[in-house]
Amino acid sequence: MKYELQKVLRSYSGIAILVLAIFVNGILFYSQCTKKPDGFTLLHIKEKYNHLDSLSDELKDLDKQIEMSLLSGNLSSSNDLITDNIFTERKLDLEVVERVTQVLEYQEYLTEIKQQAMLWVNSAFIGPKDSFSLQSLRRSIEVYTALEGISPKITFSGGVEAISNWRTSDLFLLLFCLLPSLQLITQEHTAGYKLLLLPTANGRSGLYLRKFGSLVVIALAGWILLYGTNFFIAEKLLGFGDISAPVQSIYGFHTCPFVLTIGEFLVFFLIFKLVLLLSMASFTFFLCCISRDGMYALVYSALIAGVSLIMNLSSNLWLRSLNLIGISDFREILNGNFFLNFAGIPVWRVAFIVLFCVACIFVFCIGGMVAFFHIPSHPILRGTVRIGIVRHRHVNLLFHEAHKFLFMNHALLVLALFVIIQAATYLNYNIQSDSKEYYYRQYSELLSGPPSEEKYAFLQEEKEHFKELKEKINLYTSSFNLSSADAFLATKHLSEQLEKEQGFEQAMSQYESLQDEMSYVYQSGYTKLYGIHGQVEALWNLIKLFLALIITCSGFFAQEYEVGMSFLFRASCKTSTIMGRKLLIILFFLFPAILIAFLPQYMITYYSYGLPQMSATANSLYVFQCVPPNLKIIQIIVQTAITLTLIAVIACSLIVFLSCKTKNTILTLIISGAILLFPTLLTIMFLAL
Amino acid sequence: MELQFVGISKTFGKNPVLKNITACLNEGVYGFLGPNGAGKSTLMNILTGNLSPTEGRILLNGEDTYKLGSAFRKQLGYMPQQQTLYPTFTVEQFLYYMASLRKMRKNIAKNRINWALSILSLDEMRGKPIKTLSGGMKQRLMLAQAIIDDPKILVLDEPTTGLDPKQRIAVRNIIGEIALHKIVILSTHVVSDVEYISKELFLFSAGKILRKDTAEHLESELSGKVWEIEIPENELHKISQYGLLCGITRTSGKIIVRVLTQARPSLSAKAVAPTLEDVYLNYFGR
Repeated sequence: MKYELQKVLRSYSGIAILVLAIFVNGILFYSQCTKKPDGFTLLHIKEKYNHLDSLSDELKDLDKQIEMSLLSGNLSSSNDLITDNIFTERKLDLEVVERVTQVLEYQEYLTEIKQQAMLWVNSAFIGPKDSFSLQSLRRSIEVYTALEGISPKITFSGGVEAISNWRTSDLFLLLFCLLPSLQLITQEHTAGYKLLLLPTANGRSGLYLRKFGSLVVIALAGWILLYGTNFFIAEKLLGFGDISAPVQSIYGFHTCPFVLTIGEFLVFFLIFKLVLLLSMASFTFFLCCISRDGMYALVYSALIAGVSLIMNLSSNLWLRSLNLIGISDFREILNGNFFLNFAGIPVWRVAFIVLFCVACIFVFCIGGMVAFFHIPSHPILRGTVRIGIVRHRHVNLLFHEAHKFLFMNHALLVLALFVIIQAATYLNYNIQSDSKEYYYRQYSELLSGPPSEEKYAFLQEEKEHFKELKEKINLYTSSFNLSSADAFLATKHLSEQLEKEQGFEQAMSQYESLQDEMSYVYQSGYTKLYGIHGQVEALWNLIKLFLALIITCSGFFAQEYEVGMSFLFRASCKTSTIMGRKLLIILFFLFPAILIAFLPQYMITYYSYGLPQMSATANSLYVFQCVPPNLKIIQIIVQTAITLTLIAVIACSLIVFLSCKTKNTILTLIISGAILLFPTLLTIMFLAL
Repeated sequence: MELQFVGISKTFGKNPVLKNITACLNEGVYGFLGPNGAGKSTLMNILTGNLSPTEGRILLNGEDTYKLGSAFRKQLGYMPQQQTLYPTFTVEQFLYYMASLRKMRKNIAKNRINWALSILSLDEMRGKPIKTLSGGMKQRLMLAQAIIDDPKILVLDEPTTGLDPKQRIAVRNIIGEIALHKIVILSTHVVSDVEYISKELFLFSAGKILRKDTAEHLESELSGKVWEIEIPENELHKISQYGLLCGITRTSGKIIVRVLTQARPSLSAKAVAPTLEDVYLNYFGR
């Protein structure tokens, strides 16, 4: 195993990526611990826990201060505040009160939820006696009964909260599994080393297990370093509180069905992550064993990540539980649904997931071993002859390079797959078309353009109209002393007219917020494109584009060095000509890829909502409130398109640069993946949070 | 020791590469000769377990090598045609790595590695990274890894490719020396590599064994059919009419042509002793 480990440890660029991953994880985790989503951090909460006795007096004081501030119009500040202002301080105090109340009212919560469960069991709606619903409810009651003796303590376990909420480390852990797998299996597979190794006495299961062992050692090192960093930062910064207290003492864990102390919970957390790590390691190892080269490994990984994402969004608990993303959500596994429906029998979800992971370790390990022995490494042994569509009886260098790129580097296949993925994504696109949106659009068509007296008068008229409608409805229900059902029928024709109100209010508030030089613009389409969801969607498209570029371009230059063609190029003095042709071909590939990546989002938004009045000033829209007033919407759209194109060109240049410098396809795949995909994924995670 | 190929066939898709190969090998050097694509390397890859046959099996002393598994591979030394070497490993480290894969004990490995490095003139390179070695050195290192465990069956695919004449002779002699009590299978295009050290030659063509015999016997079959004729330079183009051209030698303005033909091509032609190259050309030169 020593030699297998050396192979990985001597790849300095690979090690540099892993070390960087540990540092980035530490920095991100620290920033997560000190993040201020509501104006205060977990550190502030920790400080408040030290003065719980004076909390109610402090809250009264704050209320008085707020009242005075509102009356005087000045925001008073006090030296006692640990946050920026009295409002945030009050919010902080209320949060601490909520945390404490959750602990104090645990028994009430338990009794209430148990009673609810018993009520359901005794009701007639739950189904036959042996149904899963009834059985799981009965078992839930047993669980709640077992929890009755537990009395959570008031203790601040911010460190535990931060650790259990932090899932980015799992992503980095995946890197610790994927990178050695690529180096130990795929790289050797592609280079043809298996031809030499398999005929040796230890060259089969012995070699495979050594390789797998080396992967586990490196992954374990990653597990220790990543979670060690998290534990160290969490303990030093926030602390774990009283680790002998029940786990239900942690904020957000009152629904946990297990009798555990916080200390035991932390141990369980680490064991769970270890099992997850081993299953991830065996899975990535298996993927690399079945992949003919690094590109296939990356394509398979991307496909599985996509499938996991879809499974995780499913309403089916099985699908949600048994996918890569769901499995890593330790907090949800412990606090969410207790049981899974296993052929009508309720089985513990957490136990099943652990068993599933253990089974995955064995299945993928054995599957990988079989693939390791049987998938021929060298092209000669594969015995397949690749024949292009065109017979290459020409001397046009550009066409030869284009053939290499399109067929040997699978660019055509990747482009086709990319089109299919985008078509599948956007053909089933969920377009919001409720009545509010419908009427908002109708009003927007009437109000579009610069504000005017006529439009203002119209809005006032409509406002009066809705007021009258409401009064009429009230009159009906109060004067005739109707029952609710009769009142509903009697006022139905009026209520239907009132449906317009929500759309109207949206249009009205937008109109009222308009300032000089601004125009009224129907903004749903622009919000869809440039709002948070639109940004996240654009980032996903960017990831797809990066993946397409990494898969196709990583080997385009490196392969010439790998097969020794670079010597022939140099001898024929054609190196720069070939490089030029290659770059030209990549450019030809890049622009359709950019269009495939981003155009569908714009097209679907345009056809669903329209993108009207592009010549209006951009700050007329809520999403562009902060942009300079002289900018027009069309200019923002053009700037976005240019920025995205530039990002794609820079990403492509980076891949090409790495491919030329490393002269190694696998290394290019790993480094460009780490540089391009990881930061984008992290940005998405932060935006989504 | 007896190694048997029993009805080995291999097809890639619909393309048959080996057709019902049956042969029995005992201790000694066996030369596999044949043009590219004749099936030599495929048969070697099946023997080494890198490929599985479509049909047939290989037996060692009557036992299926597939069933013997590790016990068979322990007796096998293989030098592939491709120079598959880890560029960052040093020469010595690579050999220790291969020794660990061959389940060798450390003290034995140390002696055997020293021996292999010494006989293959790689002693001075032992601490150097493999990426700094020349093509010839890498080729010798590949041979070194194949012989470090003193295997009972040694499979060498084009072992002298990339070696200079001196190294080629040295490697040939080493193979000759270590072949005692071993089955050595040597695939090559360079007929002189196997001419003097091989016990038997297998001539492969289109996935089949065309002939299996000793070099002497194969050569003797051509006795009286190889001729040398001295001709003026301007008649060189007419020479193909006499038979298969085996060689041309220029000596002080004259041209001596070596021809393979049943009948005496001309009165001035002299019968000469056939060589293995003549045998090769007789089977594969047309």
